[in-house]
Amino acid sequence: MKHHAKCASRATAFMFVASLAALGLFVPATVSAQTARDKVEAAKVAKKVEKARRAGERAEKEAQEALKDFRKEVAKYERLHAVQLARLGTRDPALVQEAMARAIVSKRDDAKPGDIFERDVQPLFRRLIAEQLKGPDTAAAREAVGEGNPTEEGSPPVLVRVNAAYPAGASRSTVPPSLLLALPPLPACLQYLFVGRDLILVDSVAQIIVDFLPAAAPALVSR
Amino acid sequence: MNGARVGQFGRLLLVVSLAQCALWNGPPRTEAPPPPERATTGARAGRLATLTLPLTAGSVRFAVIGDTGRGNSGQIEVGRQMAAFHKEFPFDFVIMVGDNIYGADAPVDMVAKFESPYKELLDAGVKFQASLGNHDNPNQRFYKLFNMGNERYYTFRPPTGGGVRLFALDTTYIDKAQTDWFEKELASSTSDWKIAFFHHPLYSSGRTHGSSLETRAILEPLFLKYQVSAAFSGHDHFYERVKPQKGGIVYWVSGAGGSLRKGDIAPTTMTAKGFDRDYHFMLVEIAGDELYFQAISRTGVTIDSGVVHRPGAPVKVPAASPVPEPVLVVPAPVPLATPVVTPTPTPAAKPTPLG
Repeated sequence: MKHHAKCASRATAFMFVASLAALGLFVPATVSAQTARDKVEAAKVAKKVEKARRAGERAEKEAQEALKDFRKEVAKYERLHAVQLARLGTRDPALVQEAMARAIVSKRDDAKPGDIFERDVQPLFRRLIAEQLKGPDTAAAREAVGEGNPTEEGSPPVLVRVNAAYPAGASRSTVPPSLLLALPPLPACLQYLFVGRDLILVDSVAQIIVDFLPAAAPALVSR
Repeated sequence: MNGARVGQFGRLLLVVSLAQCALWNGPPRTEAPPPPERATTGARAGRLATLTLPLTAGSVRFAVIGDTGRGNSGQIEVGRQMAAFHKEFPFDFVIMVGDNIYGADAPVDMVAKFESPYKELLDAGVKFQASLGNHDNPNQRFYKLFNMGNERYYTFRPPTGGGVRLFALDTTYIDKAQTDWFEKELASSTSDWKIAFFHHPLYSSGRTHGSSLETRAILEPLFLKYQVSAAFSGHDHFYERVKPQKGGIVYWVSGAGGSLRKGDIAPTTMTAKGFDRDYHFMLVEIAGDELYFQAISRTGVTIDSGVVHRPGAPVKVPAASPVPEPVLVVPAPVPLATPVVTPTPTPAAKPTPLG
């Protein structure tokens, strides 16, 4: 009986000491492992950003023909935007959004998907997006697309349709900076955004969807 | 006798195990508001927690808030606390690190989610300088009280100068136009203190978001090239001061001015100080080569404070240490359970250097 109690006491003491040791040693081991992972991941992402920069420059050279029409359509939209903004004059800028949306939708009431993302340029966009969002070194970029993406964040739903408003209060996906380096640059009046996997073009003042490329991104990942 | 010992060991073991469970799993991650009984100290009772900032004549003084725009009780109480501290520490401006207005942003929402919670400060002439978060309509750049000059990203110098320049960035959309602009502004700035503020943290121990590695890959090289001294961000809904990173830059996450994810800080070795139990705001004072900071909870409790020596600036004392690395000095932490309260304002005490 006495022997059993002694054994139980030793076993309990061992478990107690082991628990303390685990508490003292395992926490720092875990946190330093996380920091090391962060450093490794950060180095990968930095390399990837450089690759993205080069990919953007390469695309400029290789796909000039397809990009020519895209740029022409973007420039056409930029002119429309500038004219409508000028017409609104000195109105309180805070109230410009709605007026701009009305004006642009009335001027583009026959606009349809693919007017700007024309058929010829779509494969280029899909390739550039795939290069930046698929593969082993793209986890951070895919996470970024998920962050703020209205389909991921319990945000008001965004109806992806040409001329539809990007709803007030809907969150915005973070467009990975590496992807922005690879994609053709846009004028200040337009922005790329993701809604789910769709790449959309949004008017930065009117907050309307100008065009979209469906299922452009691979499946989203959340952290 | 032995049986009693076994029982004692058993109880001890249970306590240790429970403590471990609490550490590993962390408290539940929710956006739940803090318990109401804790909202009765600080400014509400007309008393202030101790101010640790030195109040040096001619210094640059500002506050930092992030992820605020909900119009909820947490935001309103932080606003009250800020107003109370403003009486003792008259800061000129507040930087907002994004997610300034969640959801709808019609004029009535701007009142409920911004103008009303900070009415006292606005009435006192405090300027708010906003940066955009992923929940913000970019057209907030046109909203006069955010002082963004109609731009998604901009730079300004504080009214008191002090060799300080601040840069507000839009990290939801870092296109080439923005990085080109940022580089040009950094290159032409002659200010000693270059401080960036933006939404997505380059370094964060948040379980929900954590470090924005893509953003870091773009911005950090510019920070290093042009000697940015410090950076403030939000996005993760807690307070975190990160240990000095490359170039000695200190990063803060201050994303719980109106949003809170309790227990969202995962332990990492880069955390110098973290607080994820309640809403908070920050006060900052820059005097010469020193940046003093104080993070204050919704209830007026000091959750972190200290002083950062400007990276790259010569260290005057101690003479024995010629390394130009930033010196981070943090006073002993103030217990969280019992707010430090001074019934009558007293001259502010300087933080005690610990080395």
